[in-house]
Amino acid sequence: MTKQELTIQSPEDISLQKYKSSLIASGGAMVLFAIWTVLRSVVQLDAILTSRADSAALMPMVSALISLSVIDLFLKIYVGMSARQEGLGRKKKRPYLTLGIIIAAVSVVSVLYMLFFEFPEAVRLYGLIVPIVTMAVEVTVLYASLDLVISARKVRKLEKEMGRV
Amino acid sequence: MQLDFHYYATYCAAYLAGYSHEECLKICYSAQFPDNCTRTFLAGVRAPVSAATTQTAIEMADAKTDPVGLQDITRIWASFHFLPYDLNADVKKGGKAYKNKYRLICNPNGELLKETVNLVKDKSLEAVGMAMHILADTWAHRYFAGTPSVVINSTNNYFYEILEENGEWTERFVNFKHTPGEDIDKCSYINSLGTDSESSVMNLGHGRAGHLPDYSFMRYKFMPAWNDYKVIYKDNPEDYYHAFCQMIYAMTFLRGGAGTFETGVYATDIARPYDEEIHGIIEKRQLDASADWKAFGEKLSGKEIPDFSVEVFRTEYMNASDEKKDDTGLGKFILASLAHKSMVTNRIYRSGSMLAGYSLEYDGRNVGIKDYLKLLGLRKRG
Repeated sequence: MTKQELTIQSPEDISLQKYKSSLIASGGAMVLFAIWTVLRSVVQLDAILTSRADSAALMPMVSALISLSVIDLFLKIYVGMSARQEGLGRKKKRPYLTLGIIIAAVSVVSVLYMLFFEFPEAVRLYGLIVPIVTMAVEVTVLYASLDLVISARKVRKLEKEMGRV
Repeated sequence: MQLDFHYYATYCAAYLAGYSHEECLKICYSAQFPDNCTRTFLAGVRAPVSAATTQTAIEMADAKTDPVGLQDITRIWASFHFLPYDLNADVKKGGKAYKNKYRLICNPNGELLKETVNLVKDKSLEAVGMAMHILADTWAHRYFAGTPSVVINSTNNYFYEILEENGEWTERFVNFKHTPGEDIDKCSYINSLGTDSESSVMNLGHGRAGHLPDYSFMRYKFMPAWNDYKVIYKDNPEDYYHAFCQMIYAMTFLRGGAGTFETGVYATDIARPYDEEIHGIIEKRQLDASADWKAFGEKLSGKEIPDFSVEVFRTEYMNASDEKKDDTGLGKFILASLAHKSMVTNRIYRSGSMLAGYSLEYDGRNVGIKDYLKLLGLRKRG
């Protein structure tokens, strides 16, 4: 290889570097949101234990909430860490993109559900601040997951075009 | 750049520019001194601390990063180690704060370099040496700014050394770490800690690129935060050779040239007979080229070049009476550094940026911050 070949950057490579950087950032965000998921689940768990202490459905509800939270936590950490790895040019884990699409889809449903069903009730119960903050975080999760999926797809497409895979 | 180039290579350039051995020693001593002239040192010899041209690691750790503290850091680093290339650069993106920081990016052959060299014309040899430090650093430290900034100075993990192995050009991933000890063979170098804090001193100058800009043999490619994911290729051997030839030209001019110093001019004709030797030193893969530059300098002049020691300035200054302190080497260096810092601060201020603080016009002729009244008094007296 010549020195010139090693130092000239193609327009495709500029885009590739941009999407890789985006992948690292959104992957990092996904890991942070996994922690947010845990915090939100703890609050929900507390609410269930307080409001439905005598209910026969208490145990199944608590079990379901804990199970879903654990799955969500590990899913986001796995997807986030895998995205960062790919962005940094290290190992590529194929399933993470599919799982990222699932997170994005669930996030869309979650945001829409919150907006149309939970938000009015939450405003009535807690005032404006708590629902708006919760909503803002959920919208950010949605943005990060979409950014992760788009960046990952672009990185793979560009690498294929450039003959790097 | 480090002592090998600032001290020994500057000696060689000064000698090739026509200075005598004794004059060369004064110049190269003052060319290295901007890396040693800290507040701690100045306070120790009871000299004006506002003349500081660098900061120790402890001073940096102790430095405040409020706006006033950042202005102090910027005055020092932008003036003496990262001279801004274009304070009126047309910046297509970002707000005013971003534009002001972008305009502090260092590069060779800027208008401020011209002013720097012309400012020391007919001044002391210590002033000449100080200007040579600044000139040389514009080549080594290009693409970084002398102010803490993550959006300008930060780099990502895309960092490759370009090197020739067995006649083939190849690239190797640079392993940065934060513990002592660098290994050229393993491509393992030290850099500052990564942080997202815009005002952290970890993002000052080329901290995130480690000492790579300071090694003359190094060729590397990287992506600075300001360059929109475009890779920059830094060819230190070529840049260091340009720095060397530009120093010869600048000192030839300062020694007796007419007119004004012009940028983009290199005394390659004077350096040409020694090209093989100079390139040999610059391209040799070693962390410290002092021994080679020293041998070259001693071969040129036939005289011994003593090792650098801050004690030379310290002892002379401490032993001088109050009236004679400004006539010592350190005294002349302090005056030169105050004048230069005033000039750079003023130019940054006039460009509409407060990153280096206010610049006052004392008497319609002299500019600077209020700490520099000593300079004004001396100018009036002289």
